[in-house]
Amino acid sequence: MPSTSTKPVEDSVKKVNDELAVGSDLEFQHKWWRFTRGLWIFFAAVIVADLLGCFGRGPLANATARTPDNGIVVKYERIERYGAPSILRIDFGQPAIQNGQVRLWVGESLVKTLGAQRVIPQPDQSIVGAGGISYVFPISSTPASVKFALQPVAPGIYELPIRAAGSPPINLRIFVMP
Amino acid sequence: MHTILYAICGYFFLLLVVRVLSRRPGSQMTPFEFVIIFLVGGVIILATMGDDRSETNAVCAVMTVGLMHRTVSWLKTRYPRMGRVVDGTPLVLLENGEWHQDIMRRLQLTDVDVMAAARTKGVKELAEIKYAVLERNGGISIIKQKQ
Repeated sequence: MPSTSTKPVEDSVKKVNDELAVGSDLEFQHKWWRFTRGLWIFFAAVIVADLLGCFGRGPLANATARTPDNGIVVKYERIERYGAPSILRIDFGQPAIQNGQVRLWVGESLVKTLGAQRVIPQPDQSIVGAGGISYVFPISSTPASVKFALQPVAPGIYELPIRAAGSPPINLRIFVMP
Repeated sequence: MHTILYAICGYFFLLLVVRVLSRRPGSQMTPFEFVIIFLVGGVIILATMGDDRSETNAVCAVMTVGLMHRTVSWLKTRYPRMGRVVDGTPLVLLENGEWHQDIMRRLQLTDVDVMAAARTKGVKELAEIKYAVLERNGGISIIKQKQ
């Protein structure tokens, strides 16, 4: 039968009143309680920050960007969350509408990293190229808007350039939380 | 890939949250503690698995958590300080007829909790207890007064 290594028993566990081996460590315990108090304050701060939208899905996360001529107004979430659906809405003003249509160009990060799932309404045309996608939307009256349903595919900071023919470009910076 | 990272983060975060809860869940779980365990556990599972409900993902997540548990267990054995951080230390709640009020208050324990543990040892009243010790596993040990 194989042998196992042995060691004599030592009275190594600290005793209470020299009679009960408990092994408590009050000095450590007081340090731990101080740490936990700080940790609960931190947790509370994180919850407040979350309610405010510091981690997305709140008032501080919502943003609006517009061109100086109000040709395009983009309502979006500057802080997104990985895998969570959101809506990016673009309102078109008169300067962006030419011959009853809007020619919109968005950077490829809209699909590649911000995970555009669908466009509402469907464009008449969508052409891939030049580092992005060009859409053509027929417009019958103003105000007109299109919505992109997003679902980011990876955490990170992404630039999203948007441009409409006849209106200056806009560059959005979107932070996607893990 | 992300499942493994999330499982590691989830494991340590859950360990931290469960550890800093004043009343250590484990032994003597009441419905109050069950709510915490199931709700927090469920939330972590959702974040860990994400949209990938495949068998492969589930197996990788379970293996990661198992490996983390094994590693932490080894660290606890190797470094006693780690054991104190993860499991805490036993604390004397009652000693020779005197409550350690500061400890009881900080742990949010009451005499009713101690008496519940005492009854399982056949103790009928608090006066029969010489020592009550909150153990690392969350149970309360009772040492009776000598007759």
